[in-house]
Order: sequence, then structure tokens, then C-alpha cells
Amino acid sequence: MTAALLAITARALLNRRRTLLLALLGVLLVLVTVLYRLGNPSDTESLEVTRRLLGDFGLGVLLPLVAVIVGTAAIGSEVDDGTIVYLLAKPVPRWRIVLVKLAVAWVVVVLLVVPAMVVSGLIGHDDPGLAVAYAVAAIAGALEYTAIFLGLSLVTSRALIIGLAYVMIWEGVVAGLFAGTRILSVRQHALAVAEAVGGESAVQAELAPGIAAGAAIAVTVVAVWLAIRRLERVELRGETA
Amino acid sequence: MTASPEAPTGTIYDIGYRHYDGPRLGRRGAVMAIVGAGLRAVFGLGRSGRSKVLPWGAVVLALAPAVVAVAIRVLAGDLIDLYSYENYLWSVGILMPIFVAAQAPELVVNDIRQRVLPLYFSRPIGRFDYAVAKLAALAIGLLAITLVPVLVLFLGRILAAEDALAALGDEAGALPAIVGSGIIHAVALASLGLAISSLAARRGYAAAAVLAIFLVGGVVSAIFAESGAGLEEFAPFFNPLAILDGAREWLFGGTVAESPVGIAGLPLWTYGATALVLVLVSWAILALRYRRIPT
Amino acid sequence: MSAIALAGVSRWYGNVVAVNDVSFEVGPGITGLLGPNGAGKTTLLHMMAGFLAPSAGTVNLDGTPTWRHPEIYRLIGFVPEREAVYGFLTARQFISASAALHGMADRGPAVDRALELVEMVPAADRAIGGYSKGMRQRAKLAAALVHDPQVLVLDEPFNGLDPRQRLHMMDLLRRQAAEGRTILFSSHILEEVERLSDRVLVVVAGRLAASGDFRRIRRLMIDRPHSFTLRSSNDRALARELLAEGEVDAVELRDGLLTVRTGDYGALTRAVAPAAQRAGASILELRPADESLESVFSYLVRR
Repeated sequence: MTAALLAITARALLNRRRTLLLALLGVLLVLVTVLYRLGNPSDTESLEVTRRLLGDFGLGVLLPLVAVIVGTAAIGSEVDDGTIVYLLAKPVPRWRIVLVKLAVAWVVVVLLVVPAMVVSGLIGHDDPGLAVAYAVAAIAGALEYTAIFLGLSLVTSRALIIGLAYVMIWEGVVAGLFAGTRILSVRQHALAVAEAVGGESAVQAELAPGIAAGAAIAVTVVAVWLAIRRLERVELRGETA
Repeated sequence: MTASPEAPTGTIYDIGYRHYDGPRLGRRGAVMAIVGAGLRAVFGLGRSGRSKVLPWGAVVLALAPAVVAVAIRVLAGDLIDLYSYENYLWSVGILMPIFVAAQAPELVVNDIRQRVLPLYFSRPIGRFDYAVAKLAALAIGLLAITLVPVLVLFLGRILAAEDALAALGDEAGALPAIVGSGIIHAVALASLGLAISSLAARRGYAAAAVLAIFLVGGVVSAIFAESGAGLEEFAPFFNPLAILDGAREWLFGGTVAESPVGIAGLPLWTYGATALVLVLVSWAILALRYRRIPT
Repeated sequence: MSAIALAGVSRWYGNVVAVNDVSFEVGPGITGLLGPNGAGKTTLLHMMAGFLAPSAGTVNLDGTPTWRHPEIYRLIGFVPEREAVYGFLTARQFISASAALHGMADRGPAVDRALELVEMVPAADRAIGGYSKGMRQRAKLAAALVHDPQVLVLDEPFNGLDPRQRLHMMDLLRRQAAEGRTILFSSHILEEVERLSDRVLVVVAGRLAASGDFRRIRRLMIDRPHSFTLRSSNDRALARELLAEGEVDAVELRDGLLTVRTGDYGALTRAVAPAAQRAGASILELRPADESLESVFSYLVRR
């Protein structure tokens, strides 16, 4: 039962054209880092710039973009075109559907983002600790982002645009302005994880690791719970109601 | 439908299908109709409130600083100048991609997705008229952000001065730059956004693609500009808004401090050339996209 | 032997009432849900299949509510109306996935059997995205049958099928019903329902307008006169005799056919033979003129 769910979700998510375009973003990150390295920067400079590349580009743009597209597609595309009925017309507990889809989407996001970040980190600065720290942060952030967008896609049909708006406005602007909102910012959670793994040399996060971890877990659990609830109550009207 | 047959003089009124014999507007009328409908779609007119939020919100946010600046001018004279004409567009920069990402998909994606294009192309319009009309609609709509606020600033300066006519004389020199820069930004961004959107399968994906370009470009540009490893030269070329700023400076002069153009130190015509290439490539994409109509 | 029971079921969306206080039971055999487009058939079917919650009333399958009880899908096979399928899967993969999601351990034989039932074995290994509409319908049906459900719910299953495919599917459904299953399908096409179902549920504007055998329904509508057509050796004389009898409201002679209208069906059938004898006419043909579902339907709709 679970295997079939995994297989269907994986095949549907790995739509060739979309996956290729998303992978290109990761390639772009690597290329930009290579371009930077060609200028032969000093060690302190490369640390700072690689930090910014991995933090602002990798965690700040690449991860949320990939997560929003994959996360909303995991269930959203099936609800959109009506094929969700084939999944729902089975005696499969709804929580299992949500968890399997979340797992597959998470793995896909990680595969599209983390290798690029690791390669970029290793090229940009010789200390592998930096790359590892940000990679772990990306893995954690991917789970949280994907859970949020998966839940969002069950709440609204325009989840993709709203997710993008969230990333740009909330993460980009609001969390920068109002310190109190940082506790709810996925990017800040991820940065705190990076600091916990790589030390202060890797990144100086705004949140303490304990608080960030707690908040991240709370957000993820709430998102998953919401998604399960909505899936249990999803109503299919049909084309000619 | 028949009238009563009882009266001695009975008439049957045939209120059925009627042939139209009046004037036909032809190609020009058709194209203007697409432009008009496009403008309405760009500003969410004739649709639910939700589709008005983004475009009108962006316009209001773009106008607000100009209004505030004018108010300050009126109250405090020209002691404080919040914005110059040149850096206004850079300051409200983020609103232009948001507007384009939100509205360009509305113009083109649904026509493809719901297979409505044959309806357009079986009318007396030229091969590229559809794309040109949609482009015109989006560009005109964008002027509300790229031109109108700066004009407000301009008018504010004149009207706030003690001697309006003299102020008009002083400021009038800046008018070509304001109008030219506004038009260039509108056309270039509309071309880019429309070209990307016409390739997307869904509106959400189109918006994501447009935003991705500006987000990624902006981030990389910012990192390179501050990297200090000789990469400042490349910085502006990742960010479409920076490229346009450079083109503006090349044509009309006036440096913007925050823009990476100043840091890069490259000859300004390179930006103009790059901007032109971007626009031409976008037009080529649009032309290719609508060359064969999917039924 | 499974039964779906609806009791006082209503469904509204804001101000729009899609289903209005409907109660009935569906048992073994084939039941047809008939009604014009927009009458609420799909809404009813989705509620019965557990995809929509009733705003009021209960929808139960063997006593269990269908809403929010995924375990009922062990007993129900649902064939939706919507076209969408996983286009990138082959029919075999789609049916096999369906079987896997039902938790069937030994899928191979069941998948093969389902494919044979819908006669799709030769095309089974092509992607569904390339199928014709009729083939897609059959693939959906096979996926719904693979776990051998007791109840089959089909939303407009004959949509887009050519006549041969329609006959084939009707045959298939009859065989399933003969094995004791409960089959419920919807249609807005009268011949389909008339030909296939043992029982008819007529839904108009969200209300259950009639249920049961359609001939009985017809007979119940006594405020419309029944029509019969007669051919005899002497129509005019027969007409005169029938009119004189008093059970007949109107006679019409046209195109060599005698049409007789009466309010009392039973009395007329008793009166025809003696009237013919008195008229000296032999009856060649006696047929109810409007007993098809069509007239039932249009009478109901015209209310």
C-alpha cells in the first residue's frame, strides 16, 4: 500500500521538465560560486562571500523556491486536476497519504537543493565544515518548508502564489524588520541549525538553537496535522454539480 | 415567437438570429479590443476583489512614497529631498517584478491553457498582433508604477514651489528623462515577464518563474557587489533591474547610489546593449510561441 | 449483499440547494439515477461515495456513514465522471496501483481478471494518456473492479462511449449485478437507464421526483391520461364503440393509427375486447403509446 503511494507520488513529482528547470537553479548556484572563485579571493573574503552565497542564495532563495514548487505539487496538482479521487477512493488512512507525500516531496527537494549547496560550499571556501553546516540546515529547512506548502496546497487552490508571497514578504521583509517575528521564520530556524552544526564561524544566527528547533518542530507538526485534517474533509464536487 | 393571430391585422415578429450589416472595425479594432481587455485584466477590473489586490496594492505602494515626498516638500520646502527622479524607480524596485509576476500570467496563461487561442486567431488580426496587443496592455499598465509616481513627484515639486512657473522652467529639463526611463522600464519588464509567462503551463508556475529570475538575480547581484574580489563588474548583469538602471543612466544620465551600476564601473553602453538584447530575446520568444497556435 | 441508505439528505452551497431532502435505499441489482444536467446526480453520487458531506441527513453504507470512513472503500468501487487520470501510467500499472492501494497482496491475477472483464488486455501496456475516451472509461472501471467490491457507483459511465462500447459496458454491468452486487449509475440519457436498470431514481432540481420500476411510476401518474395506439381492421367503428363506452376521454384517427386516451388504464384494457367484438373489428395491434421513460421524464420535468 505504502509502496504504491510512494511510487505514484514520486513519478508524478519527477515531471521531467519541471525537475530540470529546478535543478538548473542549483546549477546556477554552483556556477556563480565557480565564477567567484576564479577571481582568486583571499580566505577571509571567501568565507564571507560563501556564507552569503549559501545563506542568502541557497537558504534564502533556492530552497524556498524549490520547496514551494515541489511542495504545492505533491498533493496540489492532484486536487487541481481531480486525480486525487483515485487516492481517496481507497481504504488508506489519510494520515498515511499525507506523510508519504511529505516524505517523497522532502526527499525531492533535498536532492534538488543540497548537493548544489554542498558543491558550492566546497568550491567557495576550503573548509568543509561550512558546507556541511549549511547542508544540514537546508535538510531541516526543506522539511519545514515542504510541510508548510503541502498544508497550504490543501487549504487553497492558489497555494503556489501565496507560498511565493510568503517567502518574499514574510521571510524577506517582515522578518528582517520585526525581530519578534523571527521565531516564525523558517529561514531563521534553518540558520540556527547551521550555527549549531558549524559553530559561529559558519553563521551568526539570530535565534538560539533550542528555540529555533522547538519552533521548527512545532510549525512542522501543526502543518502536517492541518494537512491531515483537511485531507480527511476534502470535498470533491465534480464538474457538473 | 408570434404575435396574436386573432386580430385582423396580425404580424409575426421574427426575433431570432439576425445578420449584422453594420460597420466592421477590422484589424485595428480587434487589436484595440485585445489591448483594452488586457488592460482590464492587468488591473483586475471586472473580476472579483481578490484579483485587484495585487495590482492595485502595488500601485498604491509605488505611489505612497511619492505622495509622502510631495507632502514633505509642501511642508518643509526643499530642505529635504527624499527622492531624486533617478533613484525613485530603484527605491520602489521590488514592486515592478511583483506586478509583472502577478499580472503577466493573467494575460496569457489562461488563453493557452483553456485552448481559447483559436478564437483569437480566427479573427482578422495579424500573426503577431495578439502578442503585441498583450504586451502593450501590460506595458501601459506597468506605467502606473514606472512613470506615474515619478510624475507625481515632478508635479509636486512644481506645485509646491512658491513660483510655480519658474519651478516649471527649472524642472522641465528632467521631463524627458522621467518619461523615457518610465517607458523603457515598462516595455522591458513587460516583455520579459510576458515571454516567460507564455511558456508556462499554469499561472502559478509563470509567476514563480518570473519571481525566480528577479529573486535569484537580485541576490547574486547583491552578493557580487559586496564581494570585493573583482566581481563587482558582473554584479549588475544578474539583476534585470540593475541592467535597466544602467541603460537609463546611459541614455539620460544621473547615478543612483544604491545601484550596483555605480560600483561596477563598466561603460554605460554595455547596459544599454544588454537591455536591448533582453528585450529582443523576449520578443523572439513571444513570436516563436505564437507562431503555431495550439488548438 | 450491501445496501446504501440515504435518510433526509440535503446538500447546499451557501444559497444554492443542490440536493433537497432525499431519502431512498439502494440494494442489490442495478439502479439508475436519472435526471437532467444540474439536477444533483453527481452531488448525490459523491455523497454516497464519501467524497462530500451531507449538509443534513445521513448517508450510510450497511450502517456506516460514508463520510470520513475510508474503510468503506473496501466495499465500494467508484468510477468518477471526470476525465483526469494519471496519464503517464499504463492501464496495467494504474489498475495494479489501485489494487496495491487496496492492500491486495497477490495482485497479478486480480489485475489480469479486471483487464479481461473490460476487454483491455491487448492495450494494457500503453500509457493511459494516449487512450481514447472509451478506453479510459474502461480502465477506470477496471481499477474500480479490481478489489471485487460489493457496491459499484458509476457517474455517467456511458459518457462518450460509442454504441458498441455502451452495449459492452451494459452487458458487463448486468453480469456484475447478476452476481449479487449493488450497482448504481447516473445518466441523463433515458434509453440507457431504461435499458439497463431494474430500478430508477428520478432526480429533478435536487429533489427525488420518483423511484421504482418506471412502468409503475408511469401508472401512478393518474392525473395525466394514458395513451394507447390501436390498429384494427375497422378503426372508425372501434373508435365509435370505445367512445360510447365511457372509459375513453378522447380518440384520434391519424395515419392509419387509432390513438385512444383514457384516465383509467385498467378499465380500458377490460373494455377493448368487447368493444372490438361489437364493432366487428379484429385487433391487430394494441400498444401503450407513451410508456417509455421519456414521457415519464418529461411529465415529471414539466411539473
